[in-house]
Amino acid sequence: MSENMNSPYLSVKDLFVEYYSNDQTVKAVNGISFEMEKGSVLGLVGETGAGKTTVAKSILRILPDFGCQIKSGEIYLDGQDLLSLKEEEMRQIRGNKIAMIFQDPMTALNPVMTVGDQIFEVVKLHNDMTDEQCKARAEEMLETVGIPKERYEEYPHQFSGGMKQRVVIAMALACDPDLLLADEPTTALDVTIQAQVLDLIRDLQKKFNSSMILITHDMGVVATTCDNVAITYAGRIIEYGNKEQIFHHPTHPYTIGLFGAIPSMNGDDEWLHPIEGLPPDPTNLPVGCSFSPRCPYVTDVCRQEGDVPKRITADGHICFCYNMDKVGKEEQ
Amino acid sequence: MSDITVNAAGARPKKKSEFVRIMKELSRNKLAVIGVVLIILEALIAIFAPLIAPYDPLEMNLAETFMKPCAKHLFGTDDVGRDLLSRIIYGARYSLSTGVLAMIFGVVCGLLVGSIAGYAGGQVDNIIMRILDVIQALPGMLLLIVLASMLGGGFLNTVIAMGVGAIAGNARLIRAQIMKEKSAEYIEACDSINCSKFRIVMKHLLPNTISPIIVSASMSIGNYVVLGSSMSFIGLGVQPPTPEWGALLSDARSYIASYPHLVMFPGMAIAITVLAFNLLGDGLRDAMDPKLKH
Amino acid sequence: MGRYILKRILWMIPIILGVTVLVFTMMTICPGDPATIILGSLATEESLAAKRVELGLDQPYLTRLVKYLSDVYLHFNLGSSWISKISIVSELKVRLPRTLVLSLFTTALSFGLGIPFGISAAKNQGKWQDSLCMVIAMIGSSMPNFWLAMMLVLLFAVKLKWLPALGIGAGLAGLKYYILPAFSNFATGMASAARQTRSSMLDVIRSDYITTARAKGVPEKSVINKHALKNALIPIVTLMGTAFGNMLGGALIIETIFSIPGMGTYVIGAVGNRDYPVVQAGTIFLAIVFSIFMLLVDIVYAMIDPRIKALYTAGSKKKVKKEAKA
Repeated sequence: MSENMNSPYLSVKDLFVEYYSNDQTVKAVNGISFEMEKGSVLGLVGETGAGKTTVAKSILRILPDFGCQIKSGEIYLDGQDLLSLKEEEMRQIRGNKIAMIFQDPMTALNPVMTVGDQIFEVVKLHNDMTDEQCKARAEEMLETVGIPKERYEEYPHQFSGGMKQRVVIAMALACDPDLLLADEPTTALDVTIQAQVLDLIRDLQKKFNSSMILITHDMGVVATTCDNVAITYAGRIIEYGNKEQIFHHPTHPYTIGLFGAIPSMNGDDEWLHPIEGLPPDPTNLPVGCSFSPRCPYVTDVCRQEGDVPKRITADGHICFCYNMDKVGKEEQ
Repeated sequence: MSDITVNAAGARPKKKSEFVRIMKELSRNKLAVIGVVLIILEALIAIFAPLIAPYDPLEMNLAETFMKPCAKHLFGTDDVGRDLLSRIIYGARYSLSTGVLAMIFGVVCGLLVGSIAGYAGGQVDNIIMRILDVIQALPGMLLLIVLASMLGGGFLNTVIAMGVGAIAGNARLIRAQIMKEKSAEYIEACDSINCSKFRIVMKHLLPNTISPIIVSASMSIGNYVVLGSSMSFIGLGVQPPTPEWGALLSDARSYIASYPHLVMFPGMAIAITVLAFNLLGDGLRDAMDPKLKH
Repeated sequence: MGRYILKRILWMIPIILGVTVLVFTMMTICPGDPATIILGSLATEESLAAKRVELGLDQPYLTRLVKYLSDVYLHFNLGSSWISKISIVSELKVRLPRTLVLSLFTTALSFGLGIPFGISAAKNQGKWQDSLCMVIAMIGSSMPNFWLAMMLVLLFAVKLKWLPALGIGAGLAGLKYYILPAFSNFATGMASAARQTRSSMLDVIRSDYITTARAKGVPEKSVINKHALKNALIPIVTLMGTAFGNMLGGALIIETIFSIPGMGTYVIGAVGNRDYPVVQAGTIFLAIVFSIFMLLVDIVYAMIDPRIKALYTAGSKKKVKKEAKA
């Protein structure tokens, strides 16, 4: 974490996003703020439904038009306010400056277009190159992700899951993006392939010197890949710090719970320690701290109205918990 | 065994709440409610036709032929002086019941054929499917014309012809659904505890295959109403002087230039009926598949 | 792919044979004695019996069926009408094209208008354009074609006198005789095309690969026209097959209203007269036309969807392997 005089490369401020269905309002993102340095990797960790993907889609502004709205917030990339850009200006940025790798490679590729054409398309859109040059670039990208360029003319259904994800990665990196949004890029893959694909993403991210937001629920992935970690719960960041801080001194009860739910490799523990209860219903969030109904350290103050204040832990990372000090002690 | 009973017990309340959910969803859909209201209204008109109709639908009055709509005859009179409004009111009986009965007949037969094919599998399935292939090689209307001429005219025969014509499509749908459900794990579980085949089909397969059938059936009623009146129109269905709407139109054809009201009103009656059933069918489909709704 | 098409064409042979047997059987079961209908109710018993022998109706069912099949498929002889004595082939030659023109015209019209309607409804999901399109589709699908036909005649032929009310004309000018029939038959087709397009577009627009395309910076117009439409077309093409069948069936009815001497007037008239050879031949040829259209639909389907195409080619490859083993 270098002391940077300039404004951060990416900053998200007080982002609120809601989905609507029938008469229900789903509060997916409830005031997320974070900042990122250029070239760094941020891990966005949380359970399904914690609003991680929505954050990524908000940055790219590809949330569905219908039944979804960014209520408030600001997103700055390199000093540019993304949310106030015109649609056409934003389109120039998508796939070019910011690219996204999707969770499920099975459905992320257009089934009726050849994989080559799908990479070609993004190259052609953002570069002033002839068709031949674009094709050459697309072939080069295929080779980069380890797919022989002879498979350019094949369709997605002819590829395995891992290979499809490589195509998705090739597509995302084809225009040398500054910011890469990787949304659970390995979740849908076989365990044996996960490490390969993750290595590939990390290598390419280093090679192209892109910044990356890695969305995951896998602490192991975070440990091997990220510089900083933001733990999200019910559409809020509840703990934020660099990797060492989060891994060595997890402070929020939820983060501690997450670590308790990981099987340890030396097999000392007989049982895992799951977090009791279920994530809150996003149409009806609890008053006060969203984690309070599941929290073993809950006190009355957690259930009072209003946001949990930001607090700094002993080692200097951010945590949103009233009973932060108590939590650390009881754990020991 | 306990596993199965738990499964079945667990599944049943879920089914019920699903039904309640669909009905709730349906009642919130304004268009579907309009459809239901129209259908109920029409059913009431059909049932109480003798009380509502101002005249006897068959009574001729040669002194009052070809009357334009007026206070005495709201919809006018036809070539032999019969009151058109009364004829349309009585006609509701035929049009509504042809649609609903043909749907029921088609679904029941389709269910039978489809579940035999789907559950028996192998050669039986193969033979049934090839026969269905042959039947479906004929455009539906053509099949209906041939069937209707084979069975002869009249209300019941038209219903049977339409029902038989619908068997192939329904059976295919049901077979596909059964094939899908058959490989489901709960059926394997039944097999493993030696449930009889009959029991598996009746207690497990059919209840689970029925919901797509309900949707497609409810959406097809409107279609049957049109088909039924088409048959009467070309003289292969309900025969005049029965006041069936298609037959009314067939009678009125020759007078279209001079007495358009004779054509207008019966046609509107058909269109409204079909619209009502289509609204209901659409609403049902949306309620079952919420993502299509707007 | 070529192999697959060949296989499909060969598969049509047993289907059409099946249709022949089916229709022949149904005609045999038909109540009413053709001899009585031809000669009238006043004919003597001897002349009726003689007529039955002449028509071959005295033979048992199987003998007649075999004779009919061999006549049609071995000697390519469809026979002639029992009533008019005119050869059926010569009638089919002039009548089938008329029905075909009408059905194709209607199908093209309903999909040509229905698909754009459906797309604009899906693009504006939940807005007034969507509701408008769907209301029009709903009303369109509720109007019986024969009634719409009469209403159109009333308006455009009787009142405005823009278009002919009935009959057919020769040459290109004759096409105007098809306008009213086509439009009266197209409302239902267009409605179902629009609805299918809307729902499959909505399905596709929600897919991940559309999000991927947007994330790549593909302009919204190409997202719809290039990425979404091609995928959405898959179920629409399937619908086109059944829609053509409906148009063909609808044309039979519509022809009777506009007095178009096509297959509809031919077959429906023959059904009433128990003119079995005409009904059988007419049905067989309509089934052939329908089957060919379904085959075309399947080929287009495979051209759009590489997965289906792969399935077909894989299928024939597997068969080749099997044959090689044997």
